[in-house]
Amino acid sequence: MVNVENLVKRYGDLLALDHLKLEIKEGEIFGLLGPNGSGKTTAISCILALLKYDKGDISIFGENITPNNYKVKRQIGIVPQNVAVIDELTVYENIDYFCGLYITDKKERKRLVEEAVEFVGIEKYVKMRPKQLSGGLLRRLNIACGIAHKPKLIIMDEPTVAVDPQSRNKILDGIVKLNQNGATVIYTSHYMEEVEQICTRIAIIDGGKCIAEGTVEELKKMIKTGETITVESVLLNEEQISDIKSIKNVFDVDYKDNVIIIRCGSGKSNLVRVLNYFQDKNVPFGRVFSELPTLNDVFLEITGKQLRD
Amino acid sequence: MFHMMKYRFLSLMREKVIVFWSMLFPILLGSLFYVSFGSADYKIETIKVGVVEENDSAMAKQFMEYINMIEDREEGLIELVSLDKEKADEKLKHIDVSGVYYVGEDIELVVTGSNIGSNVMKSLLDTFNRQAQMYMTIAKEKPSMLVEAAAGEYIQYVKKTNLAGKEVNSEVQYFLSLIALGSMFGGFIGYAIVCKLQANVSDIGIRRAVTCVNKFKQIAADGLVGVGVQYFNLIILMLYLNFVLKIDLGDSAVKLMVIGILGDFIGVGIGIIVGSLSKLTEGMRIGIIITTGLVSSFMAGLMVSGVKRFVELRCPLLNRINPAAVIADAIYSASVYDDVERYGRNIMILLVMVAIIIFTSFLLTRRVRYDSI
Repeated sequence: MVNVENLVKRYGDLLALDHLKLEIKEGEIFGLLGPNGSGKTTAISCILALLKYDKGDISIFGENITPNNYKVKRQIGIVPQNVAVIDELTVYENIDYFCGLYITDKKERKRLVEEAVEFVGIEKYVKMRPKQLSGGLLRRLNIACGIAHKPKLIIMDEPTVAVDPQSRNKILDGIVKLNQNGATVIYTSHYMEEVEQICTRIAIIDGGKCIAEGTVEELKKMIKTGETITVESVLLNEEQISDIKSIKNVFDVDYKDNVIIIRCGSGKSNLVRVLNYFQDKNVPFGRVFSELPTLNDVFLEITGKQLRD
Repeated sequence: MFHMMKYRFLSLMREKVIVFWSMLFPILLGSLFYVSFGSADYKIETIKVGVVEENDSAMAKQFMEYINMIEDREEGLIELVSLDKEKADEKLKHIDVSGVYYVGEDIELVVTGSNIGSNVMKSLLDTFNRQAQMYMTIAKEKPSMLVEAAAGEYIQYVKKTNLAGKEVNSEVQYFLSLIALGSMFGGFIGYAIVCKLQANVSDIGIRRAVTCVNKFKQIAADGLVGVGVQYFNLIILMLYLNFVLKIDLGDSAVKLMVIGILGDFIGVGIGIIVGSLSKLTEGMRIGIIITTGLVSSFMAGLMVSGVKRFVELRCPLLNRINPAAVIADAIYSASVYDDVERYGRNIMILLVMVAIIIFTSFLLTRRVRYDSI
């Protein structure tokens, strides 16, 4: 549905997109995951034909996307990173205004606007102005303005930034519902939990490059870490740390602030082997956690830095 | 298109900052002028007109006849003071008269500078010269019509130029300049328009840029609403000046409407141009709009009487390129002098300005792809 080939975009000397390649298939919720400044919004802006780019090809629905390709643009909905609504219009008027840029038939538009209002759950606030709404409600209005005309492709650029957990969950549920109703969604975020929760396929972007792509499971399989064991233990000495590092399947150990983080490869009994060591050597320990790898681990292992650095 | 215009209209009318600067501020300033001047019940100030009769040529006789007739017919408008050359120089030096006509083979006018009287005197002389030219043409091409033409021309002149009964005092100039300021402050509307249109200026611009509506259609819809709203504001201002403050804006309503619409295009267009300068901060852009409006109106005589005249004497080109000065002069020529030629010239200048501004604002806003957002 969306193909991005070798996209290069420079801002002066800064290389914002470095031969970016993406393929988004129909029916997906495609996540673009990357830290702030990684090039997600630039990529989205290029896909939407807003930004000039230096090199590359972008096609949507099999057609080259240009600013004047209204046939394609008609089928796209956008939820920008910042809330983009008109402060002087009411909630209902805002949705009606943006929907009206795509749908000319009044009756049809009225129905679609009411559906969008209901979909994001802001029925009680339709007569209010945006400034009277909370952050979460504003985000929902922002989404309603982008989806009211029932687009086939919805592009959401970090729609949950600065949203309370309750509203965030509603928004994420809504995105899944939109996808179930037939829309393909491109979802950018730097919150790995969100992407992991809703996206069917993910591309991890850093420095304008796609460094990994696949389903959550595929991405996790790409890295060495199969399990991360965290043990609270006071005053471990160098010898003990070295011993732990030599336990079977352990490949990395980090001891800081009386907490040892042990990274193991995938496989069975990692936790048992680690706990056996502590028991055998009479090393006192407190709480123990065992976690399967996250997208942050994927990012950390590939780039050597945390996703939120 | 109607859909876009409807919501653009609603949002503009609900933007308090815009309503304040483009509609309320000129009204408040007008009220302030009204209070400062004590009353709007202006009396016609009699203009002291010096006359030096250099000889009794045919031209001199005709002019004296004409100027005496104006003094008799338009009671209180002018007062003729017969002078010799020396006394005339002295009176001019001490500004005891608004100006002096040197009446000989040619009629020469020396004015004291920046005052309304000298404007009236210049206008009277221009009219006389036009009449004289007309007689010469008739005498040359249709001598038989000369007597008939001469029989009622002066009366006709009085009706045409309609000087009598008009508020020719300098305070009126403030109010006329205020209308020019009102037009220039249409820049706020232009600014508001461009802020919601350009993807490199606002998030709403981004959202609009990715819709399936042609950019030109969006510019046209917003621009038309902007000019319409500003025109409405200007009409309100004129009605307020005319009916509430009792400032006589003359009976040339149609001419004023034409000036108003052109002034609005200029004001709104300037706002669009300034608003498109995305590298400047919002504060800087608003500052430019306010400064442009106030400075151009100041140069047109908004705050200090005679500035426009001073500029006219020192650098007339500035008065031709300053939209506020041209607007004020066009209003003046329509409502006070009824000077068709001067009005026409001003309208032509305004039309050229409108064309340049529309072209520039279109160039700046038509972009559909940006280098950065």
